[in-house]
Amino acid sequence: MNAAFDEMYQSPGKPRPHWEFLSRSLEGLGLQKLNARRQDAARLLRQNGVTYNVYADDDGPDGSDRSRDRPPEHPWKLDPIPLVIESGEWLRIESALTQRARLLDLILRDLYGAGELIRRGLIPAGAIYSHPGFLRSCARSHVTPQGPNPLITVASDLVRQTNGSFMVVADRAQAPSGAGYALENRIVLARTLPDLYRDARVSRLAVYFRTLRETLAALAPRPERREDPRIVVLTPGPGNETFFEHAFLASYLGYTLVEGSDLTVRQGRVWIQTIEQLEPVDVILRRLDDIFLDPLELKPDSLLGTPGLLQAIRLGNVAIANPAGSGILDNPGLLPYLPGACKHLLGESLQMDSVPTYWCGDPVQRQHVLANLSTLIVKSIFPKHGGSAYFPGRLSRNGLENLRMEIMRRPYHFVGQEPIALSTLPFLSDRATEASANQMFPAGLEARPMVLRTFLLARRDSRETDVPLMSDFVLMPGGLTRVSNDPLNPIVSNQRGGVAKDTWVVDAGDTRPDVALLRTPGGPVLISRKSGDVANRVADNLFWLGRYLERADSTVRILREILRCLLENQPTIRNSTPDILLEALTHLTTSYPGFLHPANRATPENELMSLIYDPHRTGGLMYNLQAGLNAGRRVRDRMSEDGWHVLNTMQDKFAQPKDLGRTLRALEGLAIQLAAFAGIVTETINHGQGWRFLQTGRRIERALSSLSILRSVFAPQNTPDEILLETLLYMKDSLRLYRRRYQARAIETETALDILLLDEGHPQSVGYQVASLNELAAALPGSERGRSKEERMMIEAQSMLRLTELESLSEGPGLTGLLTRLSSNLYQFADTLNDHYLTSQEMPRSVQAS
Amino acid sequence: MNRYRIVHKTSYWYNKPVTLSHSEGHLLPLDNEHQHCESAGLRIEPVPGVHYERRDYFGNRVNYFALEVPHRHIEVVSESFVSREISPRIPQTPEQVQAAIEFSPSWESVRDMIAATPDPNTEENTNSNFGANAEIGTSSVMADFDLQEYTFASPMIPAVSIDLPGVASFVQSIFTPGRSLFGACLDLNARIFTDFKYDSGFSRIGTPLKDVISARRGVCQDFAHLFLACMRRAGLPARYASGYLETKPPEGRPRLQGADASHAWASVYFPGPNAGWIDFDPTNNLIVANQHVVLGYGRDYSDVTPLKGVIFGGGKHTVKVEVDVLPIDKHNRTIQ
Repeated sequence: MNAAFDEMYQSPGKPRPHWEFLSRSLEGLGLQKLNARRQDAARLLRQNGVTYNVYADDDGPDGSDRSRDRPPEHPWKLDPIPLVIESGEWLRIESALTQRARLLDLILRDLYGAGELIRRGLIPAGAIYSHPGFLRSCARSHVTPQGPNPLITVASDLVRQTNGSFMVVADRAQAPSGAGYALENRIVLARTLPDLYRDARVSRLAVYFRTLRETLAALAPRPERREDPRIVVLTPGPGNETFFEHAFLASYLGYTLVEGSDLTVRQGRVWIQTIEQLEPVDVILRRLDDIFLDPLELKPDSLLGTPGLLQAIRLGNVAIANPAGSGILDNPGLLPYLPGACKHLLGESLQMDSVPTYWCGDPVQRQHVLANLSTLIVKSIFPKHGGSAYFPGRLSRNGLENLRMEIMRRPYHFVGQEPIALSTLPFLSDRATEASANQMFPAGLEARPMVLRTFLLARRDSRETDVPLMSDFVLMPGGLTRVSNDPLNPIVSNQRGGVAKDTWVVDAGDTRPDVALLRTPGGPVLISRKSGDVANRVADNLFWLGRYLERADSTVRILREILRCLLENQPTIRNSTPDILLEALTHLTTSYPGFLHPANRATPENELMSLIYDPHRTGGLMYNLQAGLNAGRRVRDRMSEDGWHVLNTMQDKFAQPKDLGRTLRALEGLAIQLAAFAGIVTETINHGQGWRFLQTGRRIERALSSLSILRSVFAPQNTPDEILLETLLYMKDSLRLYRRRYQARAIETETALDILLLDEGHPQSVGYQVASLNELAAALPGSERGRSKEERMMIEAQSMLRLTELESLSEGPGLTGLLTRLSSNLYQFADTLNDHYLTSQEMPRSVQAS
Repeated sequence: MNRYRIVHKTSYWYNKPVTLSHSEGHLLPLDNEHQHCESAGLRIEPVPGVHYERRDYFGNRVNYFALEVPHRHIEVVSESFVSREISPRIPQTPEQVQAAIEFSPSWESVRDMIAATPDPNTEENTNSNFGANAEIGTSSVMADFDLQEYTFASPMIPAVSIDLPGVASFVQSIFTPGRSLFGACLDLNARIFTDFKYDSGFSRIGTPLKDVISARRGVCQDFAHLFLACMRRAGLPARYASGYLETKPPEGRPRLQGADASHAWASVYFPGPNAGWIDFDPTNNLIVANQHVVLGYGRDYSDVTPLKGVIFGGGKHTVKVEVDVLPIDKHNRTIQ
């Protein structure tokens, strides 16, 4: 085998002409600075929460995980050295790939339409009929009143052979991922290497996303809605491997991120269920796999989709990109038949070859695969996960025999593919001082095999009334380049921990016009986001985000006081304060028996550490932070980048248990971050319904936490002394206020209670929370039709507080009774709110009868 | 010729209101060479706000309807009038059956023939009026390659079912080298009938074939699926038929299993001069003739489920299905 093509160097130390600029700049920067830039990039990616979820087991890419458990997230890895491609070569690639996209679109239309390719033998029936991605529900009824459902986006993975020419190794049409990551790579790299990026005259990616927005708007079935259509990004949810990208794209493009249960089909149309009303949906950009789209017609046990969706599509009332059933194009069994189909459908030769692929359903090709089994890569035509492939050359004798038998038993299920010596790219090695083996690379860089994912998009015009007979495709000027994380392993896959690189299309000489000028100038793009656009699920998650973070805040505050007591261990605190606070902590976190057990009070450290650090300890600090983060992740398209940064870095300090002193400092830091988050949210989230639910969650939880702590401290068996009252006031940020109001007087129960419970002007008091909740309840959707139940409950709570006589409280069961009544009122309020607005979506289920 | 009035009534009761339901029914009979559906209609109570009928991929009649107002009860009644006269190409008399055993092609030749892909260089296939995506439920003759639609695993006959040792041993003992396809099918039909006990209490929708085989009992859907799993293991095209059996048999003939309910059986393609599908009923060890009425064909039960739906709410539900298949005279009077 010839030596692999290297993208950067044509011979040792001699970069190719279009790399010279980058090579010089990198040399000027030096290895050390380059490494520092890599760390900058990693930090930016981490702060932006750019992740790629890796499946722990075989539960599949559908992301069916609906629990609030944290999916196994991996930070996205980006190497600072981009792939550079010269614009002349890129034009050839563009021509070839747009041709291929036109071809794939026509194949899709034919397979689900007239079926001529199968009838003529240009595509073997077995490669389609045996493929679970061929959706019979979409065939023949694929045509809508506007025409056939065309392919909108496709991603093709390219590899470069030793002779320097590119080939396609796979096409992805079902719900191609990566365009958002490519954009994020660009954003981060442009920030990491700003000068270099500016001077290199790199083609901008924005043009692709502008076209995407225009195309999706033009897909709206009703022409009168194309001016301002409602477009949603349909995601399987945060358990999906590329969930980050779904949220990122939704927020970048200004669309609403929805899960299947946020949508409902009524009157043959698709609607988004918001807390206010049903809003019609015109276009769905879906990242949910075909089979999960509609439990009525496809997979009855899937909860991810929307029942009735296929009927709504069939009626032409909603457009979906890519169309349902397009997963059939991901079938590698089609690759050997593309040249023939291209001749037939386009009357041209296929411009770019696919990697030689043999479909085992054909006897001649099967013969070839079986005869050359150990030198080929064998793939299923319907892999369960994106990357499953067999490398027979690495299998044991037994493994090889089993594979051979599998192929014989279901030949149509397999293809054999020629292995390609992938071209290599310089990669900033962790082993920075080691020189690479072939000496082609300067020290610190090593060669890694690479795959380039390219993105194509149909261009549509909103003036078109019918689907055009053939789509015009555009290629993203760039792409997602990935290199293997392991120099010896040629499999490039994110599931296996690949590393991404930015992809730069640059001009070779100074004579060509700036690529940017080739773009059609367009007016400013206005993103309109409807204010009533809060899906029930979004409101639910914002509500819980507020509750969990506020719960974490209360826990931090009491923990801080407890740790201070323990650390200071001063003789003055020989009173009952620590014990009462410990018991209050147990009540607050409902972590019984906890400190109600005398032994735990005597040596509190273990129980404290567990409540702080153990993520599985329900009610504990880490648990609440993670639950808040998970709720936040589901609505991250609604959150500002800064808010997300703060949220994302909060739990980092609690990854490893520390001693009491350092734990206290970490808690102090966390208290500030929580306050920062609350401030950012108030300042950046639109104060519409979504914000109200977040605030409601916070207010409910703050009131409940205060009530819980007050109940513990003022329990009938306790007689709180001044130290305890002072601690309590300090904990609730109220000591200063108390001192201002009451000067040097000794702290008294009644005056402390006035500040903590009744004072409606003090943001830490229960009275303030109840007054705020009263206002929030009055602004709930539907409340214009008279007082809602929620509102009446808060009026009742407010009256309870306002009618309280302080003097009567300090004695007898009066206080405990009031605190208990208020708590149960608030719990009921939360339940009622929940029933009305948050969990009104029932889970669908399937029924059958013979 | 037999004429039938068929009434198929499905009722659901829920203990909590269903707020939204989407349903899809395969409840109206298709037309084919053996039967003509004179009239057919659905009566749904409460009346659905949305109701569309279409032909599915297999050529069957499908009804989609949605109830968008809360309901605790739903009743779906289909009523159809069907005349049935089996085509003379279907062997019926013992002599015809014997002749079919002798003259039907070997099962291997059928297997190999349909696996072939048409030659792209000949124009032969391009002008035919059948082929991929033709309304295969209604036409009797099919292109060889299109028969491949019925040779692979399908949602309810997955690869694990086809791979079962129980299926393998059936296939091995029945599909012996050189045996005629018709003879093998007849044998398979009889073997399922004798080896398995009809037990309406044993299985439900979705009972895996593995359990049916190990318990040696099941209902008509299970026997049809078992038949199809064996055919597909042998690489032969066979499809699932959903339909009905005459409720009251003619005098002197035994009452058959599966009457008073919807019924299911298997359908096998025979190429050659009298090309077409022949239906086998393994539940009753019969070659399907005029006592059966077909609703639709598919790869398995999931393609032609009589009534399925997705509901929101509803709590616990009870369901009742009643089927009457009554022979009628030309005045539509029930023949006693």
